[in-house]
Amino acid sequence: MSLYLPFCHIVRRELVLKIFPNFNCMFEFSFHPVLAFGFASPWLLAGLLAAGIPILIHLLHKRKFIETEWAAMKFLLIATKKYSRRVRFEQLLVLLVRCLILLLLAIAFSRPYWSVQGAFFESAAPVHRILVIDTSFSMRWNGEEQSIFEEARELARSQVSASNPGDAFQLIQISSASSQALISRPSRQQAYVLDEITRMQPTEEFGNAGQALQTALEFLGQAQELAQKEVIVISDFQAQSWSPLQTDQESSRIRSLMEAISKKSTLILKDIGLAEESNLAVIDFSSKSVFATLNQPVQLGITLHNFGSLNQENINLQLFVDGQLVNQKPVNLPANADTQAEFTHSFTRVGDHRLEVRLAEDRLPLDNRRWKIMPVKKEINVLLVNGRQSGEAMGRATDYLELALSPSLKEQPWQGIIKPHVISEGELANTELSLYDAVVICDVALFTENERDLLKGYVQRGGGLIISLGAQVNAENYNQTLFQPGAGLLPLKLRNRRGDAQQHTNVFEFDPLKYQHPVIEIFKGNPDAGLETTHLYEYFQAEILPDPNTRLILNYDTNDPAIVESSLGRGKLILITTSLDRHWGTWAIWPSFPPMMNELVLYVSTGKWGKRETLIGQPLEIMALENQLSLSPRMIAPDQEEFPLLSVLDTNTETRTITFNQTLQSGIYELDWGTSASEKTLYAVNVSPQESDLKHVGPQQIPPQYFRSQSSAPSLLNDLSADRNSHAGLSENLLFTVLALIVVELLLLWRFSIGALSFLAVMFLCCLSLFFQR
Amino acid sequence: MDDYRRYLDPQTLAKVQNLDLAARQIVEGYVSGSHKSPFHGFSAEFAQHREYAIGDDLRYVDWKVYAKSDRYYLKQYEAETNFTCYLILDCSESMRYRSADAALSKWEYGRMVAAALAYVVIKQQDAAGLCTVNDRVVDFLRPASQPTHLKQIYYTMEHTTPAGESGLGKVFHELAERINRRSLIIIISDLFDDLDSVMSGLKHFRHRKHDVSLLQVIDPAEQDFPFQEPVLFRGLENQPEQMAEPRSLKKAYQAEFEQFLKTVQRGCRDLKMDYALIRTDAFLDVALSAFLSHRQTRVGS
Repeated sequence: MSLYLPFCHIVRRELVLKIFPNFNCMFEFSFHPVLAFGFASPWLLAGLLAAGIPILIHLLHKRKFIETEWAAMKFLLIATKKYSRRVRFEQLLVLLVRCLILLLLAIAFSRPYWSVQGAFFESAAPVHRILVIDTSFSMRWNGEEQSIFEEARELARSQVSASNPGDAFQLIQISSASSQALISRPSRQQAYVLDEITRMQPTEEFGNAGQALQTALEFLGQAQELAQKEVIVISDFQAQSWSPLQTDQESSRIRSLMEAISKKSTLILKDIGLAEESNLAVIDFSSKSVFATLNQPVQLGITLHNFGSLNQENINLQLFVDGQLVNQKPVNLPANADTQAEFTHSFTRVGDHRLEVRLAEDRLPLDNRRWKIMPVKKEINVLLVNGRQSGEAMGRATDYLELALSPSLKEQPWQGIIKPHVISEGELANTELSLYDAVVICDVALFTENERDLLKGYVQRGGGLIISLGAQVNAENYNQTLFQPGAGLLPLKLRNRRGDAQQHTNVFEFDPLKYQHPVIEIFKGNPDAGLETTHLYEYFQAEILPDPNTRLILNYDTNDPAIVESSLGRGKLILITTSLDRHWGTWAIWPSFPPMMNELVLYVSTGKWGKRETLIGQPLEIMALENQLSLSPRMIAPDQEEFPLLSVLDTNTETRTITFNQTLQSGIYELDWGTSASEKTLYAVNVSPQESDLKHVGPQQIPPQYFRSQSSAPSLLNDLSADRNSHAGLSENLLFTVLALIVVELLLLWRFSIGALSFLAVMFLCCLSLFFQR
Repeated sequence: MDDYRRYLDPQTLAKVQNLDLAARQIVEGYVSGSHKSPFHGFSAEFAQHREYAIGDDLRYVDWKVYAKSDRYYLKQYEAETNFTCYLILDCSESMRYRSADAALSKWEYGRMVAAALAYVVIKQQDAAGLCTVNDRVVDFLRPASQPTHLKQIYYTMEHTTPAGESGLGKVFHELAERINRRSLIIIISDLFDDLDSVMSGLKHFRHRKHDVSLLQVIDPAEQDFPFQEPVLFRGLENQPEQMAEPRSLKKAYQAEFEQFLKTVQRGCRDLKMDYALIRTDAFLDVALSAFLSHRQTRVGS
């Protein structure tokens, strides 16, 4: 353990972590040579078969003979007896030399190499090196002269430059969305590898170390002809990447991958991380409102974090709207804590607005900015479907709702953004629903399956649907169409009507369920609004089937559900189990009714706006309207690079969404529909806050026994580079031996004793030259 | 010169089926080439003049010299001997061997040499006998000097097939006991036998005061071992088979074979015997001159 302690205190740590199964093995490593042997062109080893030719000839030669009578047999027998051993020895030696000539020739052509690591020798063999370079955005941290990514790149370049001509390289970047394999086939072209490294740029992505190690492990299976393998990881070893705290599974996966790699190769970890881990970041920028309305102040919440051990004070925080600085304030950021900040802004123009918060720059400026899109709407179109016609004033099922949403008077037209439009239930099938942000059904008796499907498609594409009940509602029909399990809109069943609106026998009130739902949050602490004092005389009992998307907004004091919210596809839908007029209660004329209806309509309308923000590497989902399906939109990235979205027609026609995956840069993305009439739709892509935490992975994450002492690290590197310089071809040596053996063979045939001596000499010299080859 | 040698070429002689004709051809060819009678050394040979002394036989006074010089000189001659010659011819199976490049087998060649020698001997009125042997005495023709005997010798040789194992040592002992009269014994064999026993037999001959000459006939392949490809050698005289790689075994074999020849040569020298190594690819005169010149030297001394 003490061997590794100095390593932990070095400020700029260049770790070389030689991974071995255990410490004892590593200790032995420094004293005992490790032999590796391989061939650069192993397929040429087929030539070894040629060594069998002399033996074959020898055997064939033996089989072919002539026959003769012989008188002087006595002398022949004596000679044979006396000299057969020697003759056999001579024959075998000549045969051996001939076989050796062919064997060595085949081996020489196969470009053999060997390596002996340790105290006596170092490798002279070509190495299969896999460079794994961290390109996550934490590597953008600017040092005194250059960013640590540039430092990593230089280190990688020096590794490649110092390599031998026979070495093969593969290149992997630690990223998440971008392709990790930069050189997926082992390349022996140094210039190409250097060029690839030079062209590498730090990404804005989160570093998926586990995936990169997995890729490296897979790459180790390539270049089988190179026995000596190295995996060199150059990274800042950020704790979030290398030892994710949130998932033990991922952390142990990384560790097991490192062990697997170390079994197959030499794993060298080069830590160019930071000793000082201070960083400020904007980790969240949000608003409660999905969209804003003209001249209405919108609250913008910002979460800041100081990833450092020192408190930071009076740091300037700026809000930019459409590129203009509109607000700024100093903030104090306590160490290692979240800080909430808030801006309020009113928009004076309809359309998408670019919002950006900017914290004063530090060494890692990328996470000091965060973007958000705020769509500003002029009006919200709401379709009210009336189920009960009436000649009386305020007699229709939608009249009170219409008034609540748009309390216009003839002399003073309503200036609000919600624009209700009433149709009768028969018109529903012929109405283009996509023109409306929300649809409210009021006391409609029956639904056909066609109408159900129409409404379902509308909701799935992001439309908002509110279904209110009433005296005309046929519960059985509703259960069979709207609420049919599997095909319906809501996972519930209507039961019996409760109460009697005529007799007013029972009076029911709302139970706000502790105001947990955001829709009724405005009533919290506001008893004058009268939500809890609303009197209702009749309602439908409903049984909510278990579903994760369904939640209660309001209950009755009988504990039956009053308002239920659910989601389907991108849209939201709400069921109100009573009527929205005066027939079943006094709610329609109660003070809680107008704000409640407004809130509900605005709440269900948000689905249509879609999600305008995402993180780097995660897809953007683009909603297309019916009339936009024939267009050829293109996405313009923050660096003005254009991505044509040609796949509009191929996308899911039901939801009419296009998925855009090229979110590799943070900033504002503009979707140009290609028509002058429509405005560009904006999207914001932000970096993952995970990378902002520069906390360094420590020996507690990577087991200490894997570490080598700092002093031995450079020596290993020096040795590795020395290997490259001392690379001498074993092939040449073998070819010289072959030449010598050809002469030896002639000598053996001429004078056996001289030949035998020269054979011994050649063998001795050959071994000697191999011994001192390096 | 070349013309007569033609008759001594084994290639030519191989075509001559008649042993009589072949022998005659060899001897005549040899004689016409050398211009010297082969008969000189064997009988009635003038040796020297010696001054007369009292008591000398007057028959030997050279009156022609007396007429010229008025002095008495006696003519001295070599002792006139009527010697017997035994031709012992090895007819064991090993003599049957003939290599691919050789025109004659060892048996054929040796038979031809024996015929020529018999011809020479009988021509000068001496007696020649024939003995064909392997591990026993196959044929034994007692020595005779009649020309008809020569025919019998030829006939015997022509009708003998080389077969059976060698057992020269035992046979030599037997013959040494059998031949009582001091004789010239000419042995024609490849001597592929137990050398100690052979030498012991030869020693027995010498012990019985026989004049022994050894003509060792070998095939050129046996000395040169010219094989390249692997060969399955099938041994004659019940020797086992042996698969061999000639190129690697050549030196070792040759060393063994030369060692054998040297041992034979040394043994002959020690026993004061004439010895000649004759390859079946050599011209016949080589064999004859090697033998006859040796004989002349020995007779003259």
